[in-house]
Amino acid sequence: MDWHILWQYRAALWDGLMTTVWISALAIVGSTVVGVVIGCLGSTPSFFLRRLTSVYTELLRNLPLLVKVFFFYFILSMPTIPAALLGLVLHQSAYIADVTGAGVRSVARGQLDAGLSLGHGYWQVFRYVILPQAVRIVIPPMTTQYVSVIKNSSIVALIAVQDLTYQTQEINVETFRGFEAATAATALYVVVALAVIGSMTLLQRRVLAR
Amino acid sequence: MIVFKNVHKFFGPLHVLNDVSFRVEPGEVVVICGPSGSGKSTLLRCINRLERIDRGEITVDGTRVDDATRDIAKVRAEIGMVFQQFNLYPHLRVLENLILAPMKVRGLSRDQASGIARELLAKVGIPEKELSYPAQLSGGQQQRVAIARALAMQPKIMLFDEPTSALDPEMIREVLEVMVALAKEGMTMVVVTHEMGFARRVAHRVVFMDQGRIVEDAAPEQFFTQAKDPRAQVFLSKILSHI
Amino acid sequence: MTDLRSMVRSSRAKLLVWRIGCAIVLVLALRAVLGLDWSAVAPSWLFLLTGLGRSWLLAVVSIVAGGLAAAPLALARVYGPPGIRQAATALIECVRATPELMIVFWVYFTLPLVTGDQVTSWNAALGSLSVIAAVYLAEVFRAGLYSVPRGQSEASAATGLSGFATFLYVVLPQAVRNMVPALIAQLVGLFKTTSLVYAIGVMEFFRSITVTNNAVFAPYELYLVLALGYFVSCFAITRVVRWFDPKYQLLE
Repeated sequence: MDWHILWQYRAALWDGLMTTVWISALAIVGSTVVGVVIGCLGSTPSFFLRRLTSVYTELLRNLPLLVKVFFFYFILSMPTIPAALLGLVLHQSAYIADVTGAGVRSVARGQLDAGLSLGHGYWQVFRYVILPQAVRIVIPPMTTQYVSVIKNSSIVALIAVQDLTYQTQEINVETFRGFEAATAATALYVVVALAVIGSMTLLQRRVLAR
Repeated sequence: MIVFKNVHKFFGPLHVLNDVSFRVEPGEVVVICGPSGSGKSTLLRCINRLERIDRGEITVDGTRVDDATRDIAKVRAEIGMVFQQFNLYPHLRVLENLILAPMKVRGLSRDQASGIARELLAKVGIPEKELSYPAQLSGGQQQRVAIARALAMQPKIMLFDEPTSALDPEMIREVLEVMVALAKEGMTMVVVTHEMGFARRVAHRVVFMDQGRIVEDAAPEQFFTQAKDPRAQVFLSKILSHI
Repeated sequence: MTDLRSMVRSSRAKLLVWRIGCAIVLVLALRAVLGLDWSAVAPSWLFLLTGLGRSWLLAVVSIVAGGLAAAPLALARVYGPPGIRQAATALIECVRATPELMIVFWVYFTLPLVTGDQVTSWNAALGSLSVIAAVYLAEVFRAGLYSVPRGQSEASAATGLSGFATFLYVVLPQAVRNMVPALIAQLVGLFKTTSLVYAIGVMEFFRSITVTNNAVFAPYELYLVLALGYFVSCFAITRVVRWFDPKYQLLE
């Protein structure tokens, strides 16, 4: 095993890492925005909103990520990075919607009753009473989702985006040292995941601090 | 003030409110009692449309509550409700619990709302707890805060849904005292409860419900001593043996 | 008149409106689909079906193999002595933090080094999917073991059953019963993940679609087949599970 090639290819690995980081970051932001909105809409008292949002989540959760990305890349002929981002966002937003909906629904019904009985409209109760309580509940499962985004971002290597996984392949093609490259890349993915988990834990502590 | 006319409500096949007609006049204190499942909580929750009815009419202070097109929030602002499980907002301090609705629904400033809130906290006997969180209070204190929160909107009617049923026995009295004081001030109150001592002290009428129907509707003394319906008599014998 | 109000508001009425709406959408979709040119694709139907079958085969075999590997891992994590427990946890968490595609490549690179021989992409695919299955199943097993209330083992110990007998006759049957929905969810998840192994040349469903497209160039029709193949498979399985146990939410 020749670990020196890792040093030799450090620029490539670094570029791959950066690409992975900013694709993951954009996908996290995008899927959170879409997923939270859909999740909140899906936990309203409206029968039709609930049905429509569950169509959205069912449709997207029963398709592999690859199939969604290929839709944008091959069928709609979008350029690689927008296609990848759109696929990632749609994919993860379905799971985040479910997580958010579960969090909102877990806030006791009595809270809604109390708010409504005081004369607040539904969305006022939602904003001041339900959402603050749901946020606390939702942070741990959301963290899991974000780690999933980071892992799923590796899919972009299959459409020639030069992320960390892609670089691993490249290094293997040039040096046949795929094992070392993959090990290094794995370590870097773990580092990125730990960074996200750490930030979310800090966020949780701040949110819980009264 | 509150008028129910031939109200029916179904939960699926269950006929939860069966041809209910009753009135509450301004300033009256009405106690509703009955076995569980009799529909008394449902009846209460229909007054501020937390539950919808399937047939009939409900009018509160001249406004039809059952009409789906009405702005129910305005009506609800005039009706205060106190729940069995208190339902205080756990993430807000006591004072914040009280001022949220006056600020967001009535548009009061923070100072105005806080002033009213502090007066009410003093009135229910716990002014020193304004900066505490609900979890730091006992059950009796929490329920008194809940009453103060409902009163902060200066409602015309107060609804109580088994307010003492979730309390440890030694705390029931402090809550009932607040309710008695409120009744003596002339507040229109509809109270679902098993606390017959309270009914005896301040209720103008006692209403007994069984299986979705109003079976007895009489002044307290008449209800307790001369209840006509056998179901009411059975219920009374079970309840009063506790006191 | 008030009867009408309750009728309109009733959930049965809304359900009817919803179902009619869905039917209309389905009819329109069907018309659009039939309007496409299926003549190019139709002859390849067996090839594509075989590809779908291979994807399922990969998923099922990997779940079984992964399960076999996961059992000792889960047991180590739950019942193991301190050093072993940490090691098992570290291993599971490290692999779980790795992208699936990376695992596929990693196994594809490493397996030849281990066996000293050429490895077919099918075997590499099985290997990597089994590794992926193993770590997720280890967590499912762990959750299943924890889902049995402690009181159960305490009660059976009080009747004199040994630790091992308690595990075998009291804890394990309950754990297994609680785990079934989660296991099915993992199978469905793994089935979706099989799409990744096309990258190392396995002729599963995804690759059979792209190969067919290279031959006949019918991207829209083929994409529809692709999406439907995965969707119907996953949807059917999750519906069946929900029919058996309605309150369980499959969150894979």
